[in-house]
Amino acid sequence: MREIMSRPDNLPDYRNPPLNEVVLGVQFAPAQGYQQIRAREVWELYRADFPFVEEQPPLPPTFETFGLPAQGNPFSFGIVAGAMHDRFWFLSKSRDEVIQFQQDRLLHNWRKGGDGNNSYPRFEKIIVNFEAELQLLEKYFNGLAVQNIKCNQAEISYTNHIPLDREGAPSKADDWLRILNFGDGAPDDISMVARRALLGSDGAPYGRIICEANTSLNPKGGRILVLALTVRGAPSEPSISSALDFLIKGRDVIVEEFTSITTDSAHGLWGRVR
Amino acid sequence: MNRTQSINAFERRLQVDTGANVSSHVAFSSRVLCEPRHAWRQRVIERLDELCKLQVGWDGYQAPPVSFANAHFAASMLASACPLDAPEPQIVPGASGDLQIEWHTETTDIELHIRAPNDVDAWRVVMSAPEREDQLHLTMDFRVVADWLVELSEASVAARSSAA
Amino acid sequence: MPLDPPPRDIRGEVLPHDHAGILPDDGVIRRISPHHLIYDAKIQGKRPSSMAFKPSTGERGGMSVDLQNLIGEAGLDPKTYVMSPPWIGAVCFTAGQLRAEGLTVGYDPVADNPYHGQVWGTFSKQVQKRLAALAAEFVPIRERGEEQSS
Repeated sequence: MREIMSRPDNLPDYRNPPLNEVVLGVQFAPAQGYQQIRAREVWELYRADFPFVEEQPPLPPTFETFGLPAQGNPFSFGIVAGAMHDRFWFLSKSRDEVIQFQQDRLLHNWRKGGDGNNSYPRFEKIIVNFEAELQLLEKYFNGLAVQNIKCNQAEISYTNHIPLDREGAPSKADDWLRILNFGDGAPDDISMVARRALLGSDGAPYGRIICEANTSLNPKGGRILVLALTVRGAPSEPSISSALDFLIKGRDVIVEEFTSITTDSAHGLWGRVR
Repeated sequence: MNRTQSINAFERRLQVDTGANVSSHVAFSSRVLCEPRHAWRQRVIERLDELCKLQVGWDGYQAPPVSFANAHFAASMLASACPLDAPEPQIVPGASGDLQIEWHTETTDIELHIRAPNDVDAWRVVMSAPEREDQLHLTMDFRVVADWLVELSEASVAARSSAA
Repeated sequence: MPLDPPPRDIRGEVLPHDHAGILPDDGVIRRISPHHLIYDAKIQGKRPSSMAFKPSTGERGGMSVDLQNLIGEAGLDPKTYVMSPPWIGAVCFTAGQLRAEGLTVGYDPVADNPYHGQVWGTFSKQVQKRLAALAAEFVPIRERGEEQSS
């Protein structure tokens, strides 16, 4: 188990970023000997801290692959009729953290509570917790058949909610996002996705960063700009350790990208300290 | 509480309290009427679906159906590797939930054996130089396959032109 | 003549081996599904994909076969026996042909097929192509869709 790491010195940091949700996730080959009837045994691994459970529709497998630039819609391959494992949400007592489990996925979500008073526990802490959760799951699967979790994708996602109707603060999306410039014709709403391959030192792609920006409303009806940054790809090895290394690198990429695409004035409002 | 989830992506947002409607690029581009796509796209999706639904023992022995993960990986690979004018691939199931994507034209053979996600044996032979076979192991970067398919299409056009 | 039991590991799984009781001229049948057929523009027709001559991807993965002599010695018609599911076709080799390709031919009886064997070794593309060329039709291979009318 890795120790709690320190944040890299050169990584931008903010006292009060508009962070609303962080998700760490791995996708893996279904374990031998596991069937959905055993989902309760998996919940028992985490139940002490995640005492509530809900069922959700499953997520289909997702892979980042590289080649030609995207041509129209990706192949959308619907859910095949037949036995599919539900996705289970194991919720913490405060319901601001969720472990999502299905037979080929484990994810951990942290989100800002409804009153906005829970503070973000910081990446350095949640990655250690996620590693522990993965290792518990691997130990459980190993009890069914001699096997390790074989990760084939890892994903980290940061979702920010930027209020657009706060008094004294900018109200237009292009005041917050450097990549937008509508001049005098500010749109009423925005929906955009930008994707970029991430290249390793050998020039080969190892993952993708996906930036999504949409205007929306928060639960209190206030206008917000939702800015979600995701890094997704295959770890260099199918091991838990390699997946965590991917997530750590992904976090750094996201923070750099967030800083790069948001405006200096936004940084000031968020209390940039590095 | 109004929960909405997209099932088209590796969805991880709770979207419980926010009501945020994060539009994916799928929804965005659905307003475009003439969006480019492969002519054979629906047939390939149907074929992958068919292979995921094969009965155990479809091969006369104990082969399982193609795994759901392998089928999805194949779809993603084809989206990354196939130019819009690439000919329709043929898709053959394997004995262990694996599958192979193949093209066999007058001039070129290409076979992509998906053993598992990120584990692909790629092979090509061009009839004009059959002694030189290209064999590669690929994980997620299919640029070389895209090049092969461009060359395959160009060779087929050239072959048809000289036959005409 | 019944074959000696094959070597097995501690879990009872058959280990790859070359069975001395399977003689060079003995028939080794490989079932071919309609799903294995592909169209090849070079022959302007359909043929089995190289996947039809590929082993399973497991650690000790071999290519499943049926041992023709065992089926016959049990009083069954091999051609009828291997047509399961009913729309399956089949090709046939001799054990000697397979061994000449550097492969081994072993005995691997399973619960629903006591005449089951496996072929192990390195199934390179060149070997797969030669197997396709050596394969003699044993039961005609039907196309997909024809099974609906059988």
